[in-house]
Amino acid sequence: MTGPPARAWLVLLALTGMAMWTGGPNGSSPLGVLGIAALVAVSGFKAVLILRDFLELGRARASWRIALYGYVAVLGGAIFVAYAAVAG
Amino acid sequence: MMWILILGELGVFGAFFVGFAVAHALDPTGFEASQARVGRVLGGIATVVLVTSGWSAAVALQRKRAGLDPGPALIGSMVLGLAFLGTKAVDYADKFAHGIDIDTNTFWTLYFLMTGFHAMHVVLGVVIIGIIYFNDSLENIETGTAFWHMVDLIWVLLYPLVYLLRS
Repeated sequence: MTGPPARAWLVLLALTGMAMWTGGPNGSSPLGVLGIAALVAVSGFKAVLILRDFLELGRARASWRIALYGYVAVLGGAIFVAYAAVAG
Repeated sequence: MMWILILGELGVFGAFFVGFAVAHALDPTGFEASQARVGRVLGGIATVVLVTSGWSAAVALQRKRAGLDPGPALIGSMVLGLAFLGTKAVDYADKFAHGIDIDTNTFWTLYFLMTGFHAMHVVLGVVIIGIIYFNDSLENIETGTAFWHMVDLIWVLLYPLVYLLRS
């Protein structure tokens, strides 16, 4: 099957590789604020792809779209702030 | 009803995620020393397996709408869900072999609670997909795959937070 789910799946695979590369498969060196921002942004975009193209959130009512996309945005923002605040 | 359940589960995991981030902020050195021992590559493989399972579930719904048999795609989702659980079994066995368990420190307590709670949802999701395989009305497939995508969504947020993110 083609269409949005197949495209989203391929992008999700690529973004998972990108997240692993950003996080370093074996490294323990600090990520810094930019690395934290990149990792949070990539992960947030993956979440949006799952909501939009797998869960078909576009078919749901606007209130559900606001709640679920808002959830990802608020959670990503909170995690970024908590990690960036202690970044070296 | 399923949407209410999904929102409730997302709320619980959201609280876990924020709690983990705050606990890290209180002890970044201790958290990152422990995090260096997680299996990042295995976690990445688990992510690939689970998002592929999610795609297969989405294909099952597409096939049902197109008047095709959704069964093979549902079986694919279940098999990949079980493969995901296999990666968790390997992960946990490795940790226990190295003397790491839920009581080791705060990082490992949260690690086992969060990944274990998620794994329980994967088990439930596999059972739900098994049920809709035998009762494959369009409504059942929409409902069951929605739960599976929620499980998928939680993992793509959990994996970077617990396995990769550090200051």
